[in-house]
Amino acid sequence: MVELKIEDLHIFYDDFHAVRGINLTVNDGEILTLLGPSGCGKTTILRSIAGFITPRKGRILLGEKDITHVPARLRDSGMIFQNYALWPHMTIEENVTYGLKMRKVPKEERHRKAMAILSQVQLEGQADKTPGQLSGGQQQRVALARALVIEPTILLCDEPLSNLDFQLRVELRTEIRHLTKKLGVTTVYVTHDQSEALAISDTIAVINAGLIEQVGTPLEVFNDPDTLFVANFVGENNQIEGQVTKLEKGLVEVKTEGGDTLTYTNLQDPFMEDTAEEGDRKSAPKLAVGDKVSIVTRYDKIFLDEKATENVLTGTIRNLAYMGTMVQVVLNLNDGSKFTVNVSENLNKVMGMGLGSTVKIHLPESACFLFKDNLRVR
Amino acid sequence: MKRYMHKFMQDPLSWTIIPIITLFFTVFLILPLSFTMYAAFVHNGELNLSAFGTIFNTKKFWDPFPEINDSNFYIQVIAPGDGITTIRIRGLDYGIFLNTIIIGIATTLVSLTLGLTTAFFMARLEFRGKTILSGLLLIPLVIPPFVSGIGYNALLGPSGLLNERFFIPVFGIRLLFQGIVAIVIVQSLHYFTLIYLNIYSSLMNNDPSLEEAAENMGADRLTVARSVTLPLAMPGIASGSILVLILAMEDLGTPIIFANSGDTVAAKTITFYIMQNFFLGENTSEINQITAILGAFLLLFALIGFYAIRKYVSLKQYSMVSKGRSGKFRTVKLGKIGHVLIYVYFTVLLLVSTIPHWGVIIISSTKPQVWPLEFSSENYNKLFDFENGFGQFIYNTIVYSFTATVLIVILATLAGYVANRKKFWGQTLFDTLVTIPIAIPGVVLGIGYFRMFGNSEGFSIGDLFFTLNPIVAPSVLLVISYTIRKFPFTVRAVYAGLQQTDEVLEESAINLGASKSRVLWEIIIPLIIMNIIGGALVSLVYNMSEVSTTLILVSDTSNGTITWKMAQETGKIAELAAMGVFLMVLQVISLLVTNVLLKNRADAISGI
Ligand SMILES: Nc1ncnc2c1ncn2[C@@H]1O[C@H](COP(=O)(O)OP(=O)(O)O)[C@@H](O)[C@H]1O
Ligand SMILES: [Mg+2]
Repeated sequence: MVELKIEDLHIFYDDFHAVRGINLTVNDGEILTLLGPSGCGKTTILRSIAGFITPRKGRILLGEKDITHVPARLRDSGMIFQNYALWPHMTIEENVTYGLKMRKVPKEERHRKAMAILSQVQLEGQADKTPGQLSGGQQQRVALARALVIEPTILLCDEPLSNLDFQLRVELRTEIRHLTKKLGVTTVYVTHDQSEALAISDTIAVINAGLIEQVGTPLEVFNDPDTLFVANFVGENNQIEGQVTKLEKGLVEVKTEGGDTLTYTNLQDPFMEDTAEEGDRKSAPKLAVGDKVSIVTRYDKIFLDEKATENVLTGTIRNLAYMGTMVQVVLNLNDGSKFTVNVSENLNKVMGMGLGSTVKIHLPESACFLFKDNLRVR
Repeated sequence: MKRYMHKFMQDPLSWTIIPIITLFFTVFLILPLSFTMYAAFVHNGELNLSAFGTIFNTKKFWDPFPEINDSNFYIQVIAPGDGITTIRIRGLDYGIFLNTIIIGIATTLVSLTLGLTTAFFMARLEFRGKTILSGLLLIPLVIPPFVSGIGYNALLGPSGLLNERFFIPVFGIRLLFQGIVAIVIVQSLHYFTLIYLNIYSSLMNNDPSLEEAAENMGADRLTVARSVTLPLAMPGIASGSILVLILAMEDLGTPIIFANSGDTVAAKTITFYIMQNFFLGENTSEINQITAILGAFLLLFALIGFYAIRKYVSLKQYSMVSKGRSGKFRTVKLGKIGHVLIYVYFTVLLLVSTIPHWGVIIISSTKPQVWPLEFSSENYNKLFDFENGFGQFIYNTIVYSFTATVLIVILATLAGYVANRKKFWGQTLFDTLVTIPIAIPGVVLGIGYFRMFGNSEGFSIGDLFFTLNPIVAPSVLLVISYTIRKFPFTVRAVYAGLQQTDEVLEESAINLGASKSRVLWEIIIPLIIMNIIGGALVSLVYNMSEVSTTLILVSDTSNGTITWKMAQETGKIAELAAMGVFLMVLQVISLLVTNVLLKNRADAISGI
């Protein structure tokens, strides 16, 4: 039915260029998440879709219709605000039926619809209460019901769960996904929480400083980051700096600042001409001997392994933290930098290792992402 | 007693302050008011209710269906042969009792209309010059009660400049507002600002996303305003309106000026009647029973109003459901035509509401009866002349108001701290005690003082503490009365400061071993010093222009204040005007400083 398309969106606050040219497509019925650190422009993008901000340049299309300059009240979007924005002087039912009233839905039908949606969000008995009498999680559900009851063409959520505690967040994000999928409503979801984004989205757009870093499925974004920023923002990582010391067919050798040597044989032929089109996110930078590179590894993809011989770093144990299913080991590398490994096997043995003891860390080739500047070397 | 000692040992500071303040307010607020109430029911030592009957049977007091005749009309047009048509707009005389109520309601409605419109424009429209306007809008507030009547008369009175130099020569019309209508006009021009400030701060303190949510649901601007903005601003709207209702009914300054310039209908208000008739003779502190009854009614209205504000506002003060507010309000950016319209609105509003200001400035600084206007500093020269001018009165005013303000600062800081930070039995009562004086009619408190401390044949407290006897030496009682009456302004400012100060700061100091008084002195006061200064300035300004109790308590020249002198000499309009300008300048300076200190906490200025 409807597909949301954003073309070359530029938004300014006075002279401040907050959104700097964004292109996005949200397919019909899809949940797309804008993921990024605080202040990167997520809310700004969302508010421009809702119609609260007019972009200086670019277009917003809903289906075939250009809505860039349509007033907010006519956009037929349902928005969930970060602070819920429930009207404290109205009952829950009045809150929920407000949008229906604006759409001139007859009274009985309003009531029926409100009751139906309230039961969907498990708030049957609460219709006559006021928002002040509900808990945070319940208020959040009312906000969801209020936005969905009008059967909006598009659902907009601005960090709807950020004011709730962890348990509720997990519970509600499942519920939101379930409900929006059931209703088939196209959704733009904003969050700065990567695990929330991974769990709730069909597609994730990672935003940094007003620009898109990467668009992809949760799997792609997590396992195949295009940029150093994405790799670091999604998942828990160590980042090591190094320099290319050797470049041969099928081999890249990097010397880390700590003096260890890491070799990679699974990268594209570094001498090959760059055939990718410009702007293609798969386009990889070419390497040369002497280039500075960053290597990023996930905490849980690397191992403490005394027998390892290749791609090994040495570190001194500084802290051991038992986390139930794993032990988090914090080490210092040769150059003093901090390094973390999550160990999930032989926990007793790991906990038995003394602080200050020296261990070998194995970095399998497949566990490392290489970046030159911000771009991935593939 | 044992329990008190126990509590005292735990927290000596609070348990010294609470009894002292309670005692002070009991003796100088509750008791005097009780004396007035007593005088309303008891005459010559016996219960006497016939005076109530007198009030409601006498047309002078109660005349719900007044006859319309030559001196009692809404509009009268007289067109004698000389070509000047006189249009008199007056309003009927419903008797002293009903007049007061009608004036109160009418002033409130006019002020509400102007205040609400202005607040909406200022809070939700975006146009150039808004910052300057927000300052200019404080000007109408800055005019002492007497002075506004004088200034108004100077321009719109029977021989006012606007009539003499504009309406008559240009239109051949003499336009006169008299009676109730005149009072309502003069009051509204002043009080609409109070309502505006209250509503404005309500509108600005709403959560912007609440309006956005409505817009997102498909509501247009008008629907958003009606269904979300207005209901949420109700606390401000209600408290501002009720405050104005109370103040308008209690106003003495405006009726005095009109009455003394010969307007008999304007003289028929409760406060003016009390002021003129309470005194029965040199050697008694008995007061005229009718005045006591009228005072009791006035007090009753005020108390109901105060209670309503507290009840209503606390009911509707939506504890912010949402966590934190987000963003700014979506304002309507005005285009060219919008700008023109908004400037027209504000120009008219400001021109009309500053008529009293122009009036006093012109009349005080020009030669009388000379056209075109010619500057003269004569009136100002007389101001500081000790022998014949206002010197003595300025001196008295400054001594009284500064002494009172110092007392207020000390007591209100302590009281505000205790009422805000300590949980104790009777806390609500304590809080009411220190904030309610703003609603108490000055004349009622004044006659209460008079009855309680004045001479009497029998026993009088004034005989024991002769310095408290207003007939012998009014100064001490006057300072106390100022302290009590203008206490709420500073207390409110202190509250505002404390609300913005996290209690954790105090707790951490106590945790480290500091005593309560150390915490107050070293942590609290430095944090809220701006609020204290701001509140004190407001109290000072109002002290300097206090009318009601001053007029009742002071009976001789040597103790008179500026306002007292002004009430005595309503004939010397030009000199009074110069005095008024002097007072206004002091007020403007104080308010500007306060505004900077208190920033957006304008509700401290209105004090409720
Ligand atoms: N009303 C505003 N005026 C000026 N700058 C703003 C305004 N709103 C947001 N910004 C700035 O724009 C940037 C993006 O803000 P926002 O979209 O709220 O970020 P996010 O939602 O990703 O945290 C931030 O740097 C913020 O400071
Ligand atoms: Mg945001």
